[in-house]
Amino acid sequence: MPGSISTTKTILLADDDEDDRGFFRDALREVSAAIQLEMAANGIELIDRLGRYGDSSPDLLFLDLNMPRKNGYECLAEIRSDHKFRNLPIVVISTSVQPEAVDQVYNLGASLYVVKPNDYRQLKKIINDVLDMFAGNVLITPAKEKFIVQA
Amino acid sequence: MQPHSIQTIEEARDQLAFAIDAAELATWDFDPQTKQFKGNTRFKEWFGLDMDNEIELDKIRDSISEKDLQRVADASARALDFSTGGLFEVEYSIANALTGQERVVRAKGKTLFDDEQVPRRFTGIIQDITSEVSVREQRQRLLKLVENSVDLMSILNLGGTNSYINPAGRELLGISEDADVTTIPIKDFHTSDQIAFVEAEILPSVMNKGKWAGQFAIRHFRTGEIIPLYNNCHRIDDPHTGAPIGVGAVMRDMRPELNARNELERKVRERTRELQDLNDELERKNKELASFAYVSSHDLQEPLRKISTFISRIDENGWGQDPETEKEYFEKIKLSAARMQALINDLLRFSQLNTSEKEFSRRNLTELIREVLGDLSESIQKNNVVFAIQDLVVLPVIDFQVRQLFSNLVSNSIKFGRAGIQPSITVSGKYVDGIDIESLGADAGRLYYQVKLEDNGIGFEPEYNERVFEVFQRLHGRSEYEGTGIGLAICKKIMDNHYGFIAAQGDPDKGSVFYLYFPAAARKHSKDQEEG
Repeated sequence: MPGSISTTKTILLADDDEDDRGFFRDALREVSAAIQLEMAANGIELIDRLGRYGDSSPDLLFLDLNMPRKNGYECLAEIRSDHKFRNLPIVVISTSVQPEAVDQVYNLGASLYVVKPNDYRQLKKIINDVLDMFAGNVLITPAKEKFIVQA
Repeated sequence: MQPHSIQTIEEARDQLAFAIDAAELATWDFDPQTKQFKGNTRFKEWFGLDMDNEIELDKIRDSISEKDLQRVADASARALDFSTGGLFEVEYSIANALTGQERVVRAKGKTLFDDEQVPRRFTGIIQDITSEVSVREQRQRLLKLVENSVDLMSILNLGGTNSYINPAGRELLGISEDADVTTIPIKDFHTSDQIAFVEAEILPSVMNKGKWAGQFAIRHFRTGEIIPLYNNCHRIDDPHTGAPIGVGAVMRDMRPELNARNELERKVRERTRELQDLNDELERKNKELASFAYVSSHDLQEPLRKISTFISRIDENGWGQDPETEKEYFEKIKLSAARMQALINDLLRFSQLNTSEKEFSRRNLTELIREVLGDLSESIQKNNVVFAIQDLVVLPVIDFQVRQLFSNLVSNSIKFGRAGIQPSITVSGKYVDGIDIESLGADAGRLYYQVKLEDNGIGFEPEYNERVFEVFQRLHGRSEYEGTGIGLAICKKIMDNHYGFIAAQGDPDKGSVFYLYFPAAARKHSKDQEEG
């Protein structure tokens, strides 16, 4: 048999908040046990981690905007400027919807803008929806109307 | 046929009478010895006397105005006295006893004395000067107006000198009250440019159109000061021939008006500048408020969201299903709530730095820092912190705020100490010139006092030297180091309130240095005032 293509998805999460990382990890596990989760605690760690992928790449990146040292905007710009990651689906997560932030993030090439929910069940639903979009290849070039996802 | 001489006398007498009548003169002839008084027809008319009879002295007196009686009597007495020369000249008023007509007259005459100096004949003429007097009185009034005028009034004759300059004019020009203006050529009152202007513009206009008015200037005779004037001048013509004989000028000192205008302009400029500054200040405060509101609401939502999420997880599982996890979550909920509390407190303190009273009092900074260390004694002991504090100066400060400032900085240094190394904090001070810290926004002409606080903690990358002072700017995740991220923003606000500056320099794994700049004095040489 020719080398089997690994179907294990890898999601990379960049979020400086320990609790939020915990929520995400638990929610993801409940949605889909098969997906591998990797985490970065700030922007510098994230860039560093991406650099160590070599030829491969994570399948999906969840990026928190408000991180110390290097925030989400800076990371987004840097990642998209890297040829290797130009097709990487990037889901930006933020505490609130700010029109300027949404525009800026859209222009920088984010795939989706997700507002952090305040309910665990909502979080699971969002992760599920995102994975569906990913499966249907809808994520890379989103329509502006479908750009924002919030509970 | 009459003898030639007799004819001549008669002719001569007729001629004289005719001339006297033509000249409208009254005449009298008085013999001081016989007391006989003779007067011509006109005399009798004016004094309201009987045409046919002899003149009685009393009747004459009746027609002379009471106010003048004594004067006329005195003049008559003097005229009859040989020692005075016998001359008679007096002006007085007549109120005709019969018709009531009033007249002002001038009587002029002479007394003839014999060899024994006895008056023999007192005779003379009287002239009606009523209109002359009225004109004279009007002229007096006008002259008084001119003499008392505040403006310069002058008459320039065609020879190039003034024939008259009123007192106000003399003062303006700088010449004395009694100086003879007719000897001072007008070029002595002007610069050569002004003279050129007079010759090119003013004189032609005055000569051709009869007048000129406009902005002018003279040079003060003594000080040389140039005085701006408004000049209104006109041609004066000879009343009989119509030929120009001079130029009359009225000039107003423009300095009060110009000064008032300058003062007004200056005030407007100043007010505009003040308004501009106020406007800029308002704009800045608005921006600060807007970003403050945004940032605070944003950062407050985080802990709230997490509390909500924790609760929703327990909800989903069902309460009482997993006590261990529930307990764990409740601890985390408590932490989030505490964090919100801390955030709100710090935000309140930050906003209060704007509105609280800014009372300055002179404090010795070394003393103040020691007090702050006293407040932090528990943490200092626990972390075994060592201090080295130099002698600092006395400065006017907002006591409560500066304490908070040092408390924040010292707390930070302790918090961000390097693991396994005894935290050490050094404080020193010195004067610096504003020009050396102009890049921070300092006034180049002022003197500042720099307080330097240095620690040996974990430091930070130099690229964050400025960002550390932004509200909520954190260099570490919340779980790594406690803190709301407002501490340094508060420090900056406090220095703003003192019209000073704060700067930071991080050296990763070596430590951090914080520089505080307090205004020391307005100008450098006041340095001595600040010490002690």
